[in-house]
Amino acid sequence: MEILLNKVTFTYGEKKILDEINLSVRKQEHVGILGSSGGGKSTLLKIIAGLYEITEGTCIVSGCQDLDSIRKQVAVVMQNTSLFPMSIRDNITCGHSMSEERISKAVEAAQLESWIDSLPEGIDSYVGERGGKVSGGQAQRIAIARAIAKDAPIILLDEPTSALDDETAKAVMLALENLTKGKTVVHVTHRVETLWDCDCIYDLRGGKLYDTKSKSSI
Amino acid sequence: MIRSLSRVFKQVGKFPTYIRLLLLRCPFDAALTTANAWFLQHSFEAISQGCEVKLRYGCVYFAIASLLLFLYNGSIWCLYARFATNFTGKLRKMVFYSIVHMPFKKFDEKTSGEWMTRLNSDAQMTINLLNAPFNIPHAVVSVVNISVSALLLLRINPTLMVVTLLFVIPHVVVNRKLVYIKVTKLMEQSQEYTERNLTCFSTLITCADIVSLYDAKDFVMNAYEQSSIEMVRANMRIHIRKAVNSLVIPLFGMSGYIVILLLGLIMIRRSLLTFGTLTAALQYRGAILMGTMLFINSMTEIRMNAVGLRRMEETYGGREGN
Repeated sequence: MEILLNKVTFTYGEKKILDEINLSVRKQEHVGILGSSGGGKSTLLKIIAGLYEITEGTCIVSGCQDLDSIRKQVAVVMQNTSLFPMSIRDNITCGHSMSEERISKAVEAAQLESWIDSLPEGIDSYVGERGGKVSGGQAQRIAIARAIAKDAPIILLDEPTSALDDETAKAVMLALENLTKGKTVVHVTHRVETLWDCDCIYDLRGGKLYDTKSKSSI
Repeated sequence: MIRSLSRVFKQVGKFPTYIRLLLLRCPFDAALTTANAWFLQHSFEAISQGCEVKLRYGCVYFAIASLLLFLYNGSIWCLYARFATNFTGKLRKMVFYSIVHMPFKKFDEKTSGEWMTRLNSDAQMTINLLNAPFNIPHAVVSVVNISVSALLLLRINPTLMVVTLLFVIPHVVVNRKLVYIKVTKLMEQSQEYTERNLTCFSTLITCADIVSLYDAKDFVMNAYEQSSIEMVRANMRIHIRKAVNSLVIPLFGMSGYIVILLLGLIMIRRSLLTFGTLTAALQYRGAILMGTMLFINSMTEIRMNAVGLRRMEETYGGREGN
């Protein structure tokens, strides 16, 4: 199993956010987790990403249990992308030395090429804090390029298109297709239609993960 | 700067109170100098005449005058402190109100570090400009002190007045060339680096998840460190210039003192001056020097803090930002 969650419980102070969650995801499997706002979807994703320490249970990702090792195995695209107030290049490489070829491939796969070519300073253009100098779709595609460049075996998606209009969302979906090809994917969302390419879908309600549903049943 | 200040007062109010306090604070240094000079002159004359009663009365008058002056000064500074607290609150509220009511486009154009700098550092610089030591209050006080001391020294002995000026003017010129002209640009740089530093710092918080997941701790820390070093360097450049200027002060101060002592000796020998009058003259000369130093330092600080005033004015819309 690439991801294995066994009776995972997570609490914020007294409040139980996740209650004895069991989840297993095979290598290259695409799993969707459906749930309403405040249901604990993002918390679950952050646990799989190694950002939160669980209160009880076991979380094994790519055979690793310690948070630092887990973080190395995953790449994340969130609903509200955080960009560094630096250049597009810095946002893709995150300061790691990467070949131009690797960066170009990430840019191309994230559908950023034509936009970057139109910028006077190209990939070295400043994106501004909170992505103030780029649109939501562009920011999202920079985040996708960053995830592609990391080349992690597990991709975690947290409603990456929910804040975008239909046309922009389409372009981002194309970029996401390139990102998730041949990878293990966990996609959390409240919109079932965005889970069209998932192999199976789980339902997260009140901190519990219910019924494993096949795509066709949904 | 005066226009900018009047716009700030227009927004915050309290201009008449500020002027009243400034005028009340003005006479202290000049009055203290006069009291000191009178006491020294009176005491040495009493000693040379061997008149104990005259000396005793002089001491009592001086003690009472000093006590009253310090009580007066303390009361004015207390009122100033109360005024400064109220003014600070109102000013910060005004800047905060301007920032939260700004068009979102403008808000997005600048970094969080810049907004934080405008809300904290720039607002504080404006407050310092109006209320802190070595700013407008001390500049005004020093001008009054210099004028009164110069007039009294001129009345006692015009020659000593001319000698004093001969050593004060070069100091003013050196300060102007070394510090005063350069300080605005250096301060602007310092504020820009402070903004960058704060932005890097807030990135560590706002992008904490990305920093962890993409192993970018060193990368972001390097950027933070770099901006930190640039900020310190800019501040150091200001301090170095101030330090070099401070080196000049004893040079002119001591040489002037020696020249006046030698001149005083000649004048006393020729019965053109008494020892008591010489001590009073030295007291006035000291006040002129101190006043000049205070004025120079205050003008430098005013110029530095005016950078904050200008930037803050852009924030609340008095002037269009870049």
